[in-house]
Amino acid sequence: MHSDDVVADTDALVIGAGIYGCATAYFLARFGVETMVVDSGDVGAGASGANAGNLHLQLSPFSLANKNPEWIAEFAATLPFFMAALALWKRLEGELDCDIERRCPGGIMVAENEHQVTLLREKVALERAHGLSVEMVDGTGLRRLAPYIAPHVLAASYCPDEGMANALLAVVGLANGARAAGARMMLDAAVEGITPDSAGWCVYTPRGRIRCRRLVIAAGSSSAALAALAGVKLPLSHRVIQMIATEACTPFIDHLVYHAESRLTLKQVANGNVLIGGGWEAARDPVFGKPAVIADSIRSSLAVARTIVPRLAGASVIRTWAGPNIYTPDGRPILGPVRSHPRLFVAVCNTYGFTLGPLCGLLVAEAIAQRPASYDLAPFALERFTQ
Amino acid sequence: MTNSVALRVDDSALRAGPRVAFTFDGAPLHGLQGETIAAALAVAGIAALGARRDGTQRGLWCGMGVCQECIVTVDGMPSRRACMTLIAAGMAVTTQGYAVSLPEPSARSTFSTPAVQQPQLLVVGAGPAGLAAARAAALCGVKVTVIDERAAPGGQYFKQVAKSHNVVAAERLDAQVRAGRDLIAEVERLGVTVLREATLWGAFGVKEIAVAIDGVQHVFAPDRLLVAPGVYERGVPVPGWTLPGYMTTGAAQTLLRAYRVLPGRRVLVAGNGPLNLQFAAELVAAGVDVVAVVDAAAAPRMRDIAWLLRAATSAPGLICDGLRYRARLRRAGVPLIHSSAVIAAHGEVRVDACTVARIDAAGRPIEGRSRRYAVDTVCVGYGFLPSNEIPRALGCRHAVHDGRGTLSTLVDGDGLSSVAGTYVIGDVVALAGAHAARCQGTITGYAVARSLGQPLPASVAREQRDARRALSRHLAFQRALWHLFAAPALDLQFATTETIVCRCEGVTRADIDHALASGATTSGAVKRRTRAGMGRCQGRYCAPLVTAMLPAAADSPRDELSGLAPRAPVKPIRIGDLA
Repeated sequence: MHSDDVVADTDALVIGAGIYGCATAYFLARFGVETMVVDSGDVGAGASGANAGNLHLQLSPFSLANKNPEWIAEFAATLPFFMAALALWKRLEGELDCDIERRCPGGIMVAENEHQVTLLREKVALERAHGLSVEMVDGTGLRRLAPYIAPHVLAASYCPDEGMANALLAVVGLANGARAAGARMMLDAAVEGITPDSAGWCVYTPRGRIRCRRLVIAAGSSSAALAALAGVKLPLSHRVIQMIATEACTPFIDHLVYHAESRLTLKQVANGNVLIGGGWEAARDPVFGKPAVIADSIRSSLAVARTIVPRLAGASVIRTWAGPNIYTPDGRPILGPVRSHPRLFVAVCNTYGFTLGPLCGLLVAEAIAQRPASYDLAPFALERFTQ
Repeated sequence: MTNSVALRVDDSALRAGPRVAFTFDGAPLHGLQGETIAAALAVAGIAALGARRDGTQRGLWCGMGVCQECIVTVDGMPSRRACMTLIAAGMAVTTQGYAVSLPEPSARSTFSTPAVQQPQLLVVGAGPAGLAAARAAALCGVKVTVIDERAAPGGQYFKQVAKSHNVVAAERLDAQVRAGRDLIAEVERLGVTVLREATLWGAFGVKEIAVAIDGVQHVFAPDRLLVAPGVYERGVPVPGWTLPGYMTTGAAQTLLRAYRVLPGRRVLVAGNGPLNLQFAAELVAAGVDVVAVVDAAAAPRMRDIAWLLRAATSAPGLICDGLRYRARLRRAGVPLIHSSAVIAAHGEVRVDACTVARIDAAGRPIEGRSRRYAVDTVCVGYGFLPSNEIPRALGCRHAVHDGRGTLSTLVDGDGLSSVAGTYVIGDVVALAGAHAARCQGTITGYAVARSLGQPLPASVAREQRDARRALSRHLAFQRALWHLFAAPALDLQFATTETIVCRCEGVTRADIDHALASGATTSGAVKRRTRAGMGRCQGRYCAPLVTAMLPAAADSPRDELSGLAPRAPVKPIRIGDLA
């Protein structure tokens, strides 16, 4: 087939079958917009299939450590957005035709020394000012709340609304939901060109040309390269990070566990496995360029995990993996119409993309379908970086 | 009558060592010091070692540390492989479920980054290929370290009798064991460091090979790396194939050869290829009631004579062995059933019967041509898959070589792969048997020495020439042999919708069909949707089956990047051992 043949014509075309693309397509299709998704691989094959599945609210002093006060204040202002995202997850759990293993037992961020306790106190004050339900728990309270935490841990901040979902099932659930609502999917079709045409956009793939009135770029770590095809610069930076899974264990860790100053996220998922992450550096293999785990990160990541949850020493690691992560300059997602390019929309995240994915998809779908916005999109416009 | 057969085999070449007491789920038992938990339990008639994710009991399956199904809790420490862990006096062995109970944490030793060791040559795998390479390199003065996961070097072919037995009359050991014994002794005499019970858990680069030995971390940064991990047996799912007592021929043969323990009293051996014949003959010699040997290949016919002669001229000794096995089976009245396969195993907690059916040219069972056999053990050997996770992790180039998506590491005549300094040899590259692997080992060992600038002894040229000549003879033999055993490619012909395909995670054929129907087009997509391949064995058994189920899309390439990614850990590793 010649790639110039028009193989599909659709009102809205979403590039990317990860959680952003599938959520956007899911809501678009449910709003009655004719929708198609195109992806170079499978549903959830990129970061959406590699991420930890945390449903996350608390600010991380670790990732704020080198930021200036204005940056932190602006980022903290997105906390209500995170809260809205968690509410949408709850709604989705009822809507989707599959169990996405959502569970929100609360999140615990631990402090091992007085300095870290101070960091957490300041963080809790900031979070509470933005309406987050979060509190400090002292050592005794922590032992009662989370007896699996090491006795040397001094205190923790506790946010009762945080939790987790199965990232792999959630993206498939959204894709299936989008299909059920009438969206089409073209997988294994890498987008090679994007050009404007009279009615909107023309997207080139090896399987042929797709014409659309509105185009959404929601392709995770490929988004910057795809936007460049349309002549748009997205200010994204990239890292590859890794995750570790243990064998299934009988339930003993209830919460999402983080650390005030070290890289750590840790939780026990529905199947019993403990997933250990926290943004540890991975690499790309020198031969094929695929994300690849590195040994030092495995050792260091596990050392932190077993220091905080000593019982993990007896568990075996059975899997590790690495995946791409993207970052925006201000830590907020980039959502909505690109003013300089009519009929072009973007939906890309910063880290914490899983938590925000469905809400970001909803907002972009609302903008395309010209429905009232559930949340003000203005703080997330691409133009904030260009003006 | 059959119940009177003791499960320990007497052997005039050996004397059993001291007995030790241990417990299994609280029940007092005895075993021999130096044998594995699996061997000691087999003697006690215990096959069921614990329930897994789907709730069914599992037992010994691969018997060589690959499948991870025989895991038990030992003195409170979960997930020890019964087939690899030696019993000790007073040991408390308990069954564990799919989700393990973690022990109370013990005091932590100080964590430090492991020291880097830099042998000139690191050999991974102490089978015929690895040992022969170590020998040749050491003869040239190369400093060699060999690591192997088992308690004794030798690999699957040169498998030595375990420490549970003392050799009192070496001349009465069979030739295969003796040859291995001699090679191991020579390698150790040459000053090669042989590290046993060494689990390679991560191959992060030629200069970063992460190994755990008895809970201690080692990192190797050798000048040259030689990977000779061999193969493991292909799984062909049938209803009931996860039942305890249904095991690979290799697992059963390890019980017999290394521990002098019988896998059962009434045994049916099935699959494809000469190993099954050899093993059935060994069982008969040990007094086991072998009810039948079933092979998917058609019975030899007149027109196969040419191939038989070709095989006989290239390796007359091996052909004689083969004829001797057949004669022994015939004398014992064991039927050899051709063009057939085990299509189901039956039983509640252990296999108590199996159904054998005639199969057509596509491997499908023929209606009305089946028969049920009462047995207590079924041994299945349907050929081998390469243990190529290490070369894949290192980024070695591979090519699909058999129309079933099986990858073969691309190497030159010296065994050098596409990754600098990394040699990959033996059956993992292309199945050719132990003799060919040994020849290749010799060739590669000298090539490594040469590449390190080591002066080569005068005898090398002749030995290398002999090895090359013998290698081509063995390869010719293998070609002829597999022509004689040519059989339909078996994968899912016998699996019903409810048959488990991914043994670790209890994923059925129907689960995978559902994922495919909902749009999954790659093994990765099936894994993310169903958990097939997420388990402890890392998809070693189910990944080829899932690949066979994928839609044959012309534009999805089947190369080293398709299938499941080769990630650490190569084998599960305890967090307490790492950090």
